[in-house]
Amino acid sequence: MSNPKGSVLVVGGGISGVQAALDLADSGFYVHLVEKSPAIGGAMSQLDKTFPTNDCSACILSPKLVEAGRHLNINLLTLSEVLDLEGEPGAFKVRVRQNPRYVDTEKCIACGTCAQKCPKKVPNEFDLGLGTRKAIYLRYPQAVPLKYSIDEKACIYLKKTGRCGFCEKVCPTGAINFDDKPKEFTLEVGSVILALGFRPFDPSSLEFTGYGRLKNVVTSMEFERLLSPSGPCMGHMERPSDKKEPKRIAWLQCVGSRDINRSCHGYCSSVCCMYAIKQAVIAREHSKSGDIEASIFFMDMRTHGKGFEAYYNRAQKEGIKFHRARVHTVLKGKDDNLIVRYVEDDGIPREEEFDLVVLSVGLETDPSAISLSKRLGIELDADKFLKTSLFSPVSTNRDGIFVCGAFSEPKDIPQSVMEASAAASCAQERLWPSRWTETKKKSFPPERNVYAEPPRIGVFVCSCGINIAGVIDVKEVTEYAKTLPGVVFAQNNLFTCSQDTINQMAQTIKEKGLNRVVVASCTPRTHEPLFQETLREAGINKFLFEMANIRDQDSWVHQDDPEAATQKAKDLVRMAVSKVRGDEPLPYNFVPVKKRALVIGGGVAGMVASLSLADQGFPVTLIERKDRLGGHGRKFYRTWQGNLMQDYLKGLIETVMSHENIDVRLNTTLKAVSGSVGQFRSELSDGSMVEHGVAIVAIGAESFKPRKGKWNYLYGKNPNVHTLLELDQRFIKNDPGLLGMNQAVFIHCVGSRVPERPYCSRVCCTHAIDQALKLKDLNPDMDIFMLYRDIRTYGKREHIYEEARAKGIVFIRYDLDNLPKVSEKDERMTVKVRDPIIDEEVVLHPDLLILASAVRPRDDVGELSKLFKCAMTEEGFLLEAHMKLRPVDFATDGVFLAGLCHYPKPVEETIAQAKAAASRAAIVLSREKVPAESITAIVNPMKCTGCALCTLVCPYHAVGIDENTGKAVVDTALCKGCGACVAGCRSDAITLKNLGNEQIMAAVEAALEE
Amino acid sequence: MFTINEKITVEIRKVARDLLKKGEVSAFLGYTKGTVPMVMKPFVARRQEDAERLSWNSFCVLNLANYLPLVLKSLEPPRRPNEPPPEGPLPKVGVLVTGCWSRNMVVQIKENQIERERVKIIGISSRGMVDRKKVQALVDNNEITEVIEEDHKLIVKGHGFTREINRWDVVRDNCKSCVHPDPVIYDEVIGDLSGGRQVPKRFGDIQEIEDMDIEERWQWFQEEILSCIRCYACRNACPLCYCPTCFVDDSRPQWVGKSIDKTDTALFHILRAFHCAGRCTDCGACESACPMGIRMRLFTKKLYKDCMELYGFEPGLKIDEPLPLTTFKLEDPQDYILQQGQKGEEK
Amino acid sequence: MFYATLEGLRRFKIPHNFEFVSIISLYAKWIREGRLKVDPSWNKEGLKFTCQDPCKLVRQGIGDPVADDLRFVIKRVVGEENFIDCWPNRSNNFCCGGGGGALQAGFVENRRKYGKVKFDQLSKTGADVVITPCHNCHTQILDICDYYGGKWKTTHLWNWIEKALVLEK
Repeated sequence: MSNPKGSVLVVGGGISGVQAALDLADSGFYVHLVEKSPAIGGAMSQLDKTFPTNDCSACILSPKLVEAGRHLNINLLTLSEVLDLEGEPGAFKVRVRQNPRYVDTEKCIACGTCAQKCPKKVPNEFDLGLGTRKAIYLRYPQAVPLKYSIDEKACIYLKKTGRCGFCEKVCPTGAINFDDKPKEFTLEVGSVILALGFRPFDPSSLEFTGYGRLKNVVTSMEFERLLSPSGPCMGHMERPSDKKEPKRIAWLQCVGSRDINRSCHGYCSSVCCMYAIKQAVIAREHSKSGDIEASIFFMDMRTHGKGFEAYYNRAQKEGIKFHRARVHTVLKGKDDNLIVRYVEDDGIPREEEFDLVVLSVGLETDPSAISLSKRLGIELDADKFLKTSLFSPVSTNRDGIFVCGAFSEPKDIPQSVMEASAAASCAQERLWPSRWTETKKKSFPPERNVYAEPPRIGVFVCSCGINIAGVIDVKEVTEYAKTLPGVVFAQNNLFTCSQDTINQMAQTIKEKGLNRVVVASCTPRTHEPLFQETLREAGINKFLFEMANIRDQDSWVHQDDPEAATQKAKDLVRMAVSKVRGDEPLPYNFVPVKKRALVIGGGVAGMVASLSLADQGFPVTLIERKDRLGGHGRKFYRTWQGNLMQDYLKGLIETVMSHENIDVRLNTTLKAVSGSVGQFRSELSDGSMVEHGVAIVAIGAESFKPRKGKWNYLYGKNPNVHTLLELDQRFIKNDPGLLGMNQAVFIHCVGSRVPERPYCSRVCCTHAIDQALKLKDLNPDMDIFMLYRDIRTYGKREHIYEEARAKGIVFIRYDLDNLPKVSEKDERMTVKVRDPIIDEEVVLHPDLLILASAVRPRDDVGELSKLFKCAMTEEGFLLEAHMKLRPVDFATDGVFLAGLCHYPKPVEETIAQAKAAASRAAIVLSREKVPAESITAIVNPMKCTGCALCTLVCPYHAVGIDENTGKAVVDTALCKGCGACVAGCRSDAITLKNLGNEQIMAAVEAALEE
Repeated sequence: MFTINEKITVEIRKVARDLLKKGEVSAFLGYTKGTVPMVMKPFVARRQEDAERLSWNSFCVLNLANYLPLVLKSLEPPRRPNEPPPEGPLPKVGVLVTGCWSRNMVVQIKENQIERERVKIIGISSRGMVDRKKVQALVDNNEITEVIEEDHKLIVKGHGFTREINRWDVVRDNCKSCVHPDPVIYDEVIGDLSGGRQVPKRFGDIQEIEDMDIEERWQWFQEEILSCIRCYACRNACPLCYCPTCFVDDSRPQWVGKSIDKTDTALFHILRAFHCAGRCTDCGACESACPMGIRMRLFTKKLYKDCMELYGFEPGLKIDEPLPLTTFKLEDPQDYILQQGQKGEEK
Repeated sequence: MFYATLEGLRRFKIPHNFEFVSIISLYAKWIREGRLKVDPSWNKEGLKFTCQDPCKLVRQGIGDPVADDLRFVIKRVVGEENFIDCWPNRSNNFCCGGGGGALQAGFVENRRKYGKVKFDQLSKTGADVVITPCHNCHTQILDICDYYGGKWKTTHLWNWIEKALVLEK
């Protein structure tokens, strides 16, 4: 059998597609990233801020987009669509059509002159029609690729040749090409990943919302654009009718979701509760006066993710009002205000006037995705989402074609990112023999030794379009730079990060013999690696480089004082120049990678991750503290779609135990860890040492057993009171004692969402309802009561909630002020609960009382987290590097996490996260060596007293005391350049390379110069 | 009738002689009489006979811990920087300690300046050392030719006068407010241990200054350091100051100017105090060494008080306790960051 | 009766081999086919009509199609220009507040309070006649008109069909 192709096709350039592409490209595969719009970014690029971190969406997204845009192993095909596909896994032939851009991307420098001159305005679809754009346009200001394109439906010239054509006349590089034609070509790839995303539900058909009928009713996505600084009102919240700032805003939840009566969808869109709270919080921040009143009208508040419940609690504390009521109709008030009438539990109808109503619209599949699925023979389910099986959450019905993101089910960004990595992992499991066969390698010329040369500094001052030049006089700054000592060259560029400027910079460095470079532009976080690589391409060490941030720290924040801003830019350039003089070439440190993974925890997460890596040919050591594999998976009965857990688990355990690449160590725990990514050395409890390149932490969690206290509810006192898992045991064993029961009561949120555990355990609502349905199967006439606070059957799980209600299961809502009272007398249980709707106390006598108790972190998480220097959240779960975009990485390189130890989740999400962790781990394992930090600490032994303070404060154990000399010495493979040691040393004996005292003092003195 | 100190002296000589004779130590660090009254010199006895010169009285104000690392080093065979240490045990040093000096030794052990195995520690409970400047003041700075010490009084003789002074009246300020007179680490004890002292208002002198308003306090500080001549006697007497290149001696960059300019002098004292934070045991050697009578202990003691209040830490009491500036606890106060004083509660 | 049967069939998925249709849809069908001939010219004074969308028939029952049929029939019977639709309407119309047993439940004060919204809505149309194709709605709307002092007459649909009927000689 010939080897499969070492390349992958990713369809869809949203965050999921980009993440999958990056994972694969970094692990040795060539990726074709196909996106139908002119730029990648997807829906995430339209958001203002993201929950629960309130990060600016563009800020966390654009570095990933830029990386994808310039990655050697990613072929970005924008304005492209997949026509059809044939072949088999490992050897697919995909026909792609690339629609004409009418702009030559090699020549376009995105100066914007064409758009300025273009006479044709059309509604801007990126802003959902709220603003306008020209016929020649950038999809959004941070678009990747940053190239203009012509909308052929709007362009005057393209509709009738000879008219207009102004853009062609004014383009400084002659990039306009009206003769551009669609191109069709065939790609040969080994796997395909579909990341087709979603489109927001269009509420035009829902008259009650007032959308279209009333001016100041907007959808949530439109509101994101109103809030966004790149949107139609530049980030000043303005309502459509009179452009005034709305002071009273209402959010209506579940518009287009959880609605089976109108022409809507029955499923839950999963993200709307959180995004509405986020929008309310952010709207208040946006307002200058801070006195915005926000009200959210909802049915169930679904804040079931990590950090979400705390976000919700904080929002309530901050005064955002939550009304559990569905609004009948949005009525017209005076001055285009809106009247909302609602009734809450007390039965009293209230009427409130709002300035703006935001409809929290749901997510649905875009028609283009539906037609693509037909063409590819991909099965969709009744909700038009891609059909997946829960034990293979990223697989489709076609072998070799995988899926990730909102296309299979509405989900939030962290879930999408996890699935993207999981899909990448699935692709790698097939294609691993062809790793690095189709990838390109970058080679650099040998580096010039600049040691003896006097400094010859080149300064590149960026205009960044109008971002910088609009406020700062960049020409003045450039002229000033020329006068600084050591500067032999200074130049102003429109976009320093554009390909042509980069090429020219490399050329200039060579021609002028520059040996230091300063770029005065944006923040290093966006393009520092790009510029540093340019230095290498020009033949000098990449650390002979400094950036002066005259955008984020100058033009963006001093827009109202251009003169002072220009002066500040000069100061910043002067400081950078004086610092760069002292920069020395630094070695490119590498750490060889030990090709083995250590997986800690033999539950479903640990086993799936091990299997994924083992199937890719990497040896894995899997340690499990108990005497058998399976973890909490052993206690589960079935998934919410009815797949039996024990059958799956049995197969999984057998595969793992018999896999030649997996070394399973039962009854083993981890004692000590040293080293860092690529070179870990771990000591196991049986005394053996394992050398491994990466580690995956999958230690699981515990079930909260309410043996005493407020949530006891007779647990442990009555034999028919169980937790969910204990009831599952009875199902697994087919306990005949369950037959013939008359009544069961489930109490939700036992020990979750309470002060001592202020988070949602995510799995229990679905699990409990599925169990209730199972009981109904066993005893169709049984009465079942579910006592809940909010039902959180998110995504497609909403369907079993519908089913439960249809089967006559009764749902009674309680709150923390009115807890159910459970008692027993003569072995008869009594449950009393106040039903808010009938405003009466309901008395129940269940034969079975099930407590949906919390999933809580293990008590010994702290021990393990110390071993790998991992952080923990307040609640005790492990904390990942970034809650949105790096959900399986730890801040420590080379260590990943998956499963319950991250946060409670159902088995399908655990499997996805485990595969994602494997994919991230494979990025390291697929290489022979990984780069280590170059800007490391260095000890001057003459000044060192050996007091060892630096060794105590170093978070990476990178400094030690040399046995022979008694002085401190730095292990450059471990040092991350954080500087804690430098700050701690009393004797000034330890410094950071290229950040020495003299350089910093030079920069400080330059700053204070007149 | 022997005084307490005379009895101690006899014991010291015996112990030192024994240790040197048996070869258990190669040097013994103690005091011997100085050339002028009220001054005791640190003294290294290297032969049995030298032990006779050892002496103990209420004028042993310098801190022997300061000299210990140097003495230890001097006994090692010379070797190049990267050469491994020689095989076999290195020569040991015997040393006298009281409460504060022993605590300094604990800090030195933690900071890898001395090795516990190489030191034979002879502990003595301190009854408080006398500040000779106070005695000087009581005789109107007339030249003193002889001082005879009894258990509770001093007989001070000069040209044409003899005065009896109550010993406790002229004991040093730091000794008066000391609560740890007993050595915390030792191999042998000479004399009785006191079991600790209670001092109401231990930090009374610091409190007085804290109660001043900011203008007053700055005024007081400037006056206090006005006469500093940058001789660095304080630094040289201090066991904590062992950096090969002290920050005041650095020239690239020059952190602090070397002249008696007011700002530079202020900076020197403030930075030195901070370098001693969490490590200084208030032994008073600095004040005793200062020729100008500057009370720089008030700066270091303020930081001592802060460490105690913020972190519940007093240096040198427990050998396995981490130094406060190298670690953190979740309960550490955060009111300089969080607005509501309670830990963990945000505004 | 209508809703009970319909919902029972739907909820318990009872297999049946008959079609479930409202008489109103049949009226509409017959009028379109020309089998039921109606002429609005009787309405010389230009009486204004509006209608109620009964919950059990429209929102919970068959849905917008039957509401559309209702309006079609009414317009054909009284004249298109004489029909004023209330708002909101069809599946989104307000409940009259009298169905589901509220009429018989005895909580008269509550029932009338619930009906205030319907009263305001109907008054706003300014209609002279309110057509209620449901006997519960009829009783409720009749009562609230009286209680709150409305000026319309509450009738069923068939009265007006009768009025507009064209009899063949």
